[in-house]
Amino acid sequence: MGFSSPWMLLALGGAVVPLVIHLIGRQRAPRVDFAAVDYLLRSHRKVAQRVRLRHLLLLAVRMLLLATLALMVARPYRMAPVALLVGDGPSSVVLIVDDTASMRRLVGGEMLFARAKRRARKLVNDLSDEAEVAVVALSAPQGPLVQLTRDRREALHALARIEAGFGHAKLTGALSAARRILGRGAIGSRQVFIFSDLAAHSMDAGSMSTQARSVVPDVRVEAIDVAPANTANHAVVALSAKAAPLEGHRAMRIEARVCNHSREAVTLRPRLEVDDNYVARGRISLKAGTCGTKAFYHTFKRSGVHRAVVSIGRDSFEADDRRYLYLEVESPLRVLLINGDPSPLRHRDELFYLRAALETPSARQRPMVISVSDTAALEGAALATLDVVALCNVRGASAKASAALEAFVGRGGGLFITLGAHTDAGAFNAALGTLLPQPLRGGAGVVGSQAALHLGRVDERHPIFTKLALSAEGVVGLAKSRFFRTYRLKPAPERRGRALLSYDDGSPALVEGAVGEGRVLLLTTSVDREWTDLPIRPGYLPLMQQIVRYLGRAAAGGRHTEVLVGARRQVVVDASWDRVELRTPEGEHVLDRSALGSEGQLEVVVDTPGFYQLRAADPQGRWQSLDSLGFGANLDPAESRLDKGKIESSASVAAKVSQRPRRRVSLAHTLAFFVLLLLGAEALLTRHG
Amino acid sequence: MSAGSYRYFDAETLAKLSGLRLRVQEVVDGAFSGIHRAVHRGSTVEFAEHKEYTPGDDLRRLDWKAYAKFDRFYVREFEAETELRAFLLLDRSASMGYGAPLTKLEYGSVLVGSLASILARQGDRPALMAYAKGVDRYLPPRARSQHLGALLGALEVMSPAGETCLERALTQLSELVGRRSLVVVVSDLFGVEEGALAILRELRARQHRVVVVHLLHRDEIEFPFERLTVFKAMESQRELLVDPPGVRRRYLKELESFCHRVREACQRGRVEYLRVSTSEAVDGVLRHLMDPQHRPSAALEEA
Repeated sequence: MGFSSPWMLLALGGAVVPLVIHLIGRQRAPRVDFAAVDYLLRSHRKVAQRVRLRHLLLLAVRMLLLATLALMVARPYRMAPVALLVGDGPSSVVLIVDDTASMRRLVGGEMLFARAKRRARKLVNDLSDEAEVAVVALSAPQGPLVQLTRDRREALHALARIEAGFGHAKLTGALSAARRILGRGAIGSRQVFIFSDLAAHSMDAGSMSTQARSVVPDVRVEAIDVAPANTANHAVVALSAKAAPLEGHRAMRIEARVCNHSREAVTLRPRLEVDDNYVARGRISLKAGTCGTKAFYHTFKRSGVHRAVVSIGRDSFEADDRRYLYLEVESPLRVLLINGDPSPLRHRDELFYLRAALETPSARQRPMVISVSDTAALEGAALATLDVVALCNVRGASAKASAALEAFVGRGGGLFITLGAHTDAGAFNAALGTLLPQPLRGGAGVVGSQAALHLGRVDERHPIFTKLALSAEGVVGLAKSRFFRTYRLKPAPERRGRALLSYDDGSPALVEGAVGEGRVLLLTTSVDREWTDLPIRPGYLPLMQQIVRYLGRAAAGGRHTEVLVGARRQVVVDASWDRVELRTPEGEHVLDRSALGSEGQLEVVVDTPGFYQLRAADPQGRWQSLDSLGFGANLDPAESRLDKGKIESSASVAAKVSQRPRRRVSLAHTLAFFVLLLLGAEALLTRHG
Repeated sequence: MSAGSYRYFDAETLAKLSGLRLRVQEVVDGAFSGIHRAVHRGSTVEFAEHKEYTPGDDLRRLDWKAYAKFDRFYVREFEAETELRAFLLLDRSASMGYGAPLTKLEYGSVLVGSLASILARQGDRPALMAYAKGVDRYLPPRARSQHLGALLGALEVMSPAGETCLERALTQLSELVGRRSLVVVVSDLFGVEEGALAILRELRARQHRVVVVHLLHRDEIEFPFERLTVFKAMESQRELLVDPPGVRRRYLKELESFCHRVREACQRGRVEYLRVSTSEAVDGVLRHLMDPQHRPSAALEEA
């Protein structure tokens, strides 16, 4: 509130006049002899309190009356937002409508987004006939919904088409789009109006002014805040799972990160649902502005893919009150063995011993699904569904296969390389050089049976060997193993290869390397009996199983996949499938082969929180679930913070970003009404006197 | 009681006349020449009424004709023409000094003086008893012409002072009053004790005609004050700062309650009660007092 004539407030001093008169009047009261004073005294006692109160009220009313009159002559006013004006002349206006997730909040039973659209519609209707208008959605500013047009109906239709989504705000992109639009034949004054909740997370540069200055320095940008100042919100911002072996078989620890984005402490009751069934409920107390973790332990009845949801009580912003987790529990280890020396005689086959060792079931261990193929299969195989690939006695790999393997290992897959007679060191180094822990040196060295190598040093602290029985002679059951041919390795300190097992002459027998998130193990001899008698030793089976399980460890602890809404997720399905069905939170979509890329790629647009699952049908129409490709989609945790962002970073901001213009509204009428009320009260009090 | 028909002798008119004697003369000569009749019934030839015989009545006054007609004994009563003894009690306490243009005491003096003059004119014997805390001045009943002069002289020099105690004055009166008499008390009755009212009833029970003239000033009846005022008691040092509009209703209620209490007490003992405002005409009040047909209840209704 302000005053047009503030010096007139000095008249407020006049408010004490009734008080002074009252005090003087008390002293100057006439003295009268009166015979019936006794009755007067009796009456006075009974009404004194009421009369005193009435007098005080009367005094207060009169003082207020004078004070109000003094305020009136000082001409008070208040600042009030004025209707959005874009001028009467020609002008080009871009409306940026915030359609991000935070605009789905309900305020007074109305979605903020609906409020924003209503305000935008009003502005369009208020535009002069010479004004042009374009409409841009804040979450998808690349393609404006409508270019500059004078057709009001077209602009209103574009506004009607926008729906509040779950995407992120792309303010810079929206301002850039506005700049492009206004740069193309814009007429008259140029203005940008942003209808938004002005949440801080939508402002990349920390303040809208800074962004506007850098993107549209010569355009007036006006932000219209459609959200209330209260930004209280509670959200589940993260969800993860990992195995909890101590809790039992197939037990998982599911952790939910819960945040209290409000100014008051709160106690929330997170709830866990698994496969659409409520299974557990917790309680977490959070101070204002803090986050905490709530852990649930759940033992799954079966292995495989499960859908977990953690939710809290609904608030005005429901989209972040649930979080989705798509996880695999004790899924079988999927292993692809590439046979470089197949043989019709089973015992002469390269993989005869290895396959037998891996297919031997083991109690309380993850089962393995073994598939065998040749090197050609590497090029077309969907490695994304695998956990471990073993290259056994292969000559090398094509560039395409090498790239696929590199991507596979980089994403966390395991690669086991064994050598043999087919191995060509040069081709091997050339094709798989980036994957090898150390490059191979020359040809394989041959030693006589009398001078066969034995195993020497063992890296006992490595996870592979911590679960194997060890003795003073090394790994129990392998001590007498003999190695007749082995490959020597070139030193490559930059690759940080780690020798886990060495021969007794000191040369490495098993070397580990890391590529991206995956691991590569190189065995410098064969896995069949061609170069060694290792496969017939008792320790062979546990060693091979441990090697493969170690390489497949990434999937061991409840693999789960989370994708943020707004992203595009690429999945690769087997090219042999005829049709693919994508099940999203909003429905099912059946796609034929033409919708897939040449290598079976499918780009999934993730626009809604929830579960996304795939299944595929072969040419015969048999459907099979592609569990490993499914994922849960969640809101960006940043969307949960609804604090207001800065509008003006400083007074020197070049871009004229401002909040709605304001005008003076006189309060004289309000005060006049108040004066009338006071006069009425004064009359009432006086009359009762 | 309406003063409309007696407007020539209202307080304002009387105030223009200087001196009590002149005022009394005006009232008596102007309004009461020859209207008075003795109110004391006696054994003369002028028949008054029948009364049922009770043992002790004079057998000579038995009405045998009535006995023959009704088979019951009735005694004939006759108007008395003997001299009436009238005791006029006037309150001269300080509270009676309130009022303008006539104080209550001045008004009461005119009233008492006029009444005494009328009584003296027809040969009755008025007595004056002026009292405050006690009896200050007492002139016993006399029929001599000088007596009226003395009585008016005493009224003329009377001034208000002191507290009031009606009970003490009535106690003294009850010792003085002999055969049936007229007792008139003129007072504002402020601070009247229950004992005083009891004596009044006792006097009435002794066959005296007792009339209480409750004299109040218009200010006391209407409380017309508006401004914040310090009211000072007239019979004590008490002071009270009061906003009159705030207490008016409650005060009037208290006063009415007081008047009602006194009137009730009088009615219980068949004591005539007459509330009079000093703004009313004196002759009207006198007519009420002198009219033997006048019933106290009627006066009360009008008051």
